[in-house]
Amino acid sequence: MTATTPSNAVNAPVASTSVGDLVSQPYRYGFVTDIDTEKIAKGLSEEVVRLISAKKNEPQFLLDFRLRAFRQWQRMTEPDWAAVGYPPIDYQDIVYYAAPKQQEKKASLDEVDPKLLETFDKLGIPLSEQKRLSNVAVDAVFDSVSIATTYKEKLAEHGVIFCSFSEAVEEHPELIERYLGSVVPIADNYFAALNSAVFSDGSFVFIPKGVTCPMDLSTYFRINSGDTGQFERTLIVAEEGASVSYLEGCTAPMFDTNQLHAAVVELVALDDASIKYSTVQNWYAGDENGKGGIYNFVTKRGLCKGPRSHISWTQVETGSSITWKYPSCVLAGADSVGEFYSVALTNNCQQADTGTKMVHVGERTRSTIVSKGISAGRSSNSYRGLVQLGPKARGARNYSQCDSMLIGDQAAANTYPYIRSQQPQSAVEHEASTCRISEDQLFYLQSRGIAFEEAVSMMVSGFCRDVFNQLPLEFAAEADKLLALKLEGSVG
Amino acid sequence: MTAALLQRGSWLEGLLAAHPTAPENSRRQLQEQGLPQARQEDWRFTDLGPLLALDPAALQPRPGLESPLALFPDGDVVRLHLDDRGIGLQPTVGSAPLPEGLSLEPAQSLLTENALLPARLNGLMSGPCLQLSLAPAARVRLELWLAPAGADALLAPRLLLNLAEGAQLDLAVRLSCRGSSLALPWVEAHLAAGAGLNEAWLLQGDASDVLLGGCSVQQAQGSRYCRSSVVQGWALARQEPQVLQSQGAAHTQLRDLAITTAQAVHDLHSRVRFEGPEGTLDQLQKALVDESGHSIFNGSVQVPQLAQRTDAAQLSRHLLLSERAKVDTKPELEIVADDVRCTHGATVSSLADEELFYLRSRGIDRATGAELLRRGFCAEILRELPPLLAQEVA
Amino acid sequence: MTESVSASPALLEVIDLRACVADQEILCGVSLTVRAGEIHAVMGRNGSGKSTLSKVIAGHPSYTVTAGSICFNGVDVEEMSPEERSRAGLFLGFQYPVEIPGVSNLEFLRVATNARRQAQGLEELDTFSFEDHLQQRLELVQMDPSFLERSLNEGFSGGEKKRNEILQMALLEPVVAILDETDSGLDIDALRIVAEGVNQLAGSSNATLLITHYQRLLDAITPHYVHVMAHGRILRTGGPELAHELERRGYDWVDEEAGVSSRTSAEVSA
Repeated sequence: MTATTPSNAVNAPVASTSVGDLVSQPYRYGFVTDIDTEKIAKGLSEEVVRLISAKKNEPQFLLDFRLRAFRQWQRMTEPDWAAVGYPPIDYQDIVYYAAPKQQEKKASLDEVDPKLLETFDKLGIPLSEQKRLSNVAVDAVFDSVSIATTYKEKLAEHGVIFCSFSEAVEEHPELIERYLGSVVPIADNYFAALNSAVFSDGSFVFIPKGVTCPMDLSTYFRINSGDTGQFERTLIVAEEGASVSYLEGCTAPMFDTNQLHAAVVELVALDDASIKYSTVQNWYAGDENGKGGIYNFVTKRGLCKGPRSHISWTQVETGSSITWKYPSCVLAGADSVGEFYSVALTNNCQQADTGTKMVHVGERTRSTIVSKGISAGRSSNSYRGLVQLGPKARGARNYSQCDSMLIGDQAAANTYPYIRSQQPQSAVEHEASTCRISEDQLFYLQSRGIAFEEAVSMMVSGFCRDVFNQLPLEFAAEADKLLALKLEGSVG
Repeated sequence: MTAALLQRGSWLEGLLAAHPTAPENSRRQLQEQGLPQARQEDWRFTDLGPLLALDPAALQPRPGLESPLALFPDGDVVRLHLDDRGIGLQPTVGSAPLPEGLSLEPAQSLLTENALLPARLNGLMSGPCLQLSLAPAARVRLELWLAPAGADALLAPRLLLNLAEGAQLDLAVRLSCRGSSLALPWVEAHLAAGAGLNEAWLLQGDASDVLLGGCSVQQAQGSRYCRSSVVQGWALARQEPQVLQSQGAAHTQLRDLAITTAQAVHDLHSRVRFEGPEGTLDQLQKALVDESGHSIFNGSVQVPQLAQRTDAAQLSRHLLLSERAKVDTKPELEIVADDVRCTHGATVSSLADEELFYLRSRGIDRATGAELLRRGFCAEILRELPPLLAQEVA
Repeated sequence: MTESVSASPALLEVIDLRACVADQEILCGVSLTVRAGEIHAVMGRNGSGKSTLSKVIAGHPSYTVTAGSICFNGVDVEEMSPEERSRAGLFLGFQYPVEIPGVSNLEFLRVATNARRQAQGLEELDTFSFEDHLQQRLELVQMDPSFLERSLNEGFSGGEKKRNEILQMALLEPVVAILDETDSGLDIDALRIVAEGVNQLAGSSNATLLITHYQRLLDAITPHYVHVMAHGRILRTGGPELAHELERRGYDWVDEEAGVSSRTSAEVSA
């Protein structure tokens, strides 16, 4: 995600500036890596769950966890309340495990298949010693497995554990057993149950007591196979007084079929701990007619368990055919703080139903929600949020701001904020507004010599400024460019 | 079948059995649809328990009381109250003569397939009914006093209003129940171009009464619809105003206040839809929630593609004053048009400390200050009511 | 304070006052004595603690007094609620008067006036006699009577809000009036009206404490004493000439002095 976009892609000359002159920029990450993949047969059954577990040599507790989840999932029905529509998913027509054929564990990066390294190079995530990013440790996940993690040794010196989920199961089973499912229980929702049954890999982060993680941590998810579901699992634990900033990026090739991505992310912050989780999501969104693209059905939740703990979600959602995602905070510890900063951009036929839940349990807990939705083309962009103040959340405060920007008269912007309060000594404030890029504003900028497309891009990034400010620096610049690219030609 | 489902089914059967003469299509629709379940998004937060606690066999029309005072202070006012049978309306002493176009004969409302529950229930009953067709540019002021004299009352007023171009109707209604009663007020209104309808409702009930009411209003271009309601008391009071600006370019103003105390559940589900450009909406919902009250608000605003240049503002403000009280509020904005101004806001809080301090720093003690602030909170809506009606709010 | 006027009784005595909000100390030992017949001005930059001082004296619940004392008319106010302080004759004119929608200005003024009158042993005024009582004071602040019908401060311009504050002061007849940045946001005319109001209400048995940022209010109301506040302390106290010096030299030199002797208090420098 930290790739630098070639500047000519952003400043490509635009011949016309009229409405509907939609010349969408081609998706830059749509290539397929030609590599031998080991896949299991399509379909989901108890055997498949056992097979996945066996392939990964998992301890009994994890197999039990998967089986409980699978049985739960069988009893559940797919949610239908979100403002999204798609043909029924055939869960028996999906491959639940795919891995590039290579030896299970690599002693060093030099042994990783060069094709894979090349793939990540192309995605702007160089992994080799010479080229890798100097200030970010990266865990690269290709289809169902993690293929490499950089800077592991350096992090270990600080006591920080950063590795693939599978590795963590082998080396730190006690931590996994303790925290897995503690924030998102297996029965939480349909997709979380599915993930709990079949998850393949993902990242594990553990920051011990009092440690400030010396560098940003990042996981890069790449779907390569066309018929594979991706079900990764991320678990981040920050002990007392620890802090970490974590970045997540994702891309997928262009297929004209839809791929299911049902991830679960769990964050646990103990007393005074702080976790900042940033996502720039750029899954393949399907073509301009809505064919293909990723179904991104993700459950992300953080538990502010200890007093004064702090969890902050920042997301820039630009990809996926359908996004169904509500990164949430359970504010259990007194004086804990939850934040949600989101930019969701939909174009063409994309559908997004995204927002957050802030569940105030403890006293004087505070939360902030800033959501910016941009809808273009024929897309549909919904903010759905819940702010809940429980009876014990005395002195709790929430402020939410949800703004929508509409580009063109065929895009939909919906806002569904739910507020539930049972605590008089608290305050909730929600504001929402809708705007568009007005001709007057564009004219003003153009009359000062700013090119049309640049003026649009300035206004969009101005609209998103509050959220971009929350992103780590190099992510912010990338996000800005990404939006400009996605919107190219959609305004006039 | 779950116990809840069984209970709903047998309650409905009991109601239908008590009204054997109800129109067949109403019976059928109600039977098919049944009473709503908590699973349904629109009924998620609303507990129907108080309705099920009423004995459907005991609910009967009860004779009405005559209005002791005029709600509009002066001028020619048509004043009607519930008659001795409890299913009709009759002129009150001092009423202006009944205007042309007014009929008090039983009338059927036009139930659509997806009619709301209050409309369906109202459709079962036989009155009191009021049909008013106002000629172009006609002006009428009308006040209704709907107060059954006893408990166990069934009150299903049905108002069918048809306002021709430029006609103007000012309507003030005081509806009150006296225990174990069910009130089902339903209004259907058509506003032609330039017509104006001002409605003021004061809805007061006893702690065992249930109100399920609403309206379906269609507005043509240049019409103005202003509705103000104040709800006080009741075990359950749910209102579902629905407004359709069929060509846009009309103005809708909604002002609702709930004074939600004791065990009351007050619910406002409003829906405003713009089917043409340049419509405006100004909505303010307020609830003062104290003791074990539960206030629910769901305000849907729909702005489809053809509703360009819509200007819609919605604000939900809750004053939450007790540890046992509860608020569920959900503004709902759905927009498919780019050149619009739509805003909504929601706040839930207790009395503002800064405001209270300001009053105290002027020598006003905490209790008096809090009372001033409570009254101030309500005043914004009360002043939309005719002053004499507002005075009835204790 | 200066010997010559020390004969008149002290109405407000602040002694080594420390106060904090959310665990942060804002007042770090303020001492100040205001006697009958005096007008004092407290000047300082934004964030110097001068507004906090006024709120703490008025009993704002967000601030906690951690040390020191405030005596008003010889009584320690520590245990007194904001309304008790007001009824005893302490008045705070707010920098930002809050808007309270729905609460009628007229009703508010009557309730407040009667609360004070009751404390003074005077009879309460009914609606009718209150309006007479109000009429004279309205003229003092040249306020349009239509403002009485409106909600308290709601939609008032900055100047209208400040005039409404002075109107309240005129009605409550305080013993000590603290006016927090009453001059901010006022045009020349409004400033003159406010100043005239303050001057007319100032007498030999009461006192006024002006909290201000600029000299311009002090051109219209001449204080007997000027205190300079910074970092939660009073750094210097002088006569009206000190205000002119501040106007001329800005506040930087105050900081420099503060750096040299941060423990300087009003008593020491006076």
